[in-house]
Amino acid sequence: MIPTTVQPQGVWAWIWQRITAVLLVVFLGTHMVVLHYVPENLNINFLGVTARFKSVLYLIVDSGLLATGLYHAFNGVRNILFDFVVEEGKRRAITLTLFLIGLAFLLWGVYALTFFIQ
Amino acid sequence: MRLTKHNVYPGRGLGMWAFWLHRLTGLALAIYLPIHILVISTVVGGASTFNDAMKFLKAPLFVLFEMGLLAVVLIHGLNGLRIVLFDLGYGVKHQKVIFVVLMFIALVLFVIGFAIALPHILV
Repeated sequence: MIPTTVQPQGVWAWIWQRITAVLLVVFLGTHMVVLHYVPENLNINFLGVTARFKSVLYLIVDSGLLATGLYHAFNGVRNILFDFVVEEGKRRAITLTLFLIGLAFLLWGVYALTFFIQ
Repeated sequence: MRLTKHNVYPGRGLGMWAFWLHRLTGLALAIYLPIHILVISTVVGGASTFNDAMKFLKAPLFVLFEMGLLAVVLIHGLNGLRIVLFDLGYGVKHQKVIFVVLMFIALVLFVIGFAIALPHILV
């Protein structure tokens, strides 16, 4: 039994955590198999990656995976923190901080990915 | 009432172990992802910087580390499906059996992945 004074909230964050979870099982699974278990990809280097990045679609899919993973990871951390922090103000500060850090990593990651487009 | 570690993690059964395992693996992955982004973004420094980083990470120690990562991803991913299943209203009554079955699948996939990676660890 968990005694709590927490207000019910954030049902959309909860739903999105489930949606991104299922997406990650499919796309992160594909990502790991393609990059680490396809023999011709085993030697990861710049030329090999640029060859795959020939289509803009690849950049979009990869950025999508990045955004999905970052959302799931940072919202997951938020879920853990919210089990210990119940004050509304502190929770808002946590959400804002995690959102900004996550957004910074997303922008930096997508920016880095564009370097693979030749 | 203040929430403490004691009343957030109160159980002792298999379900609580699954919950703990999901938290810890999730936390590990949340730490890994930003590191992964930083490593791949060495490409901003040019092709040779990226290639040097990739070459460095081919060392057996890092491949071994990646095997740990594989285990963590398999545990978190498969147990995550279990959580989604429960949230859709299925299987809660059989949560322990489902956990054992999924972890067995994780173990099988890990052994396959490890076997394939082994030549890159024992070099």
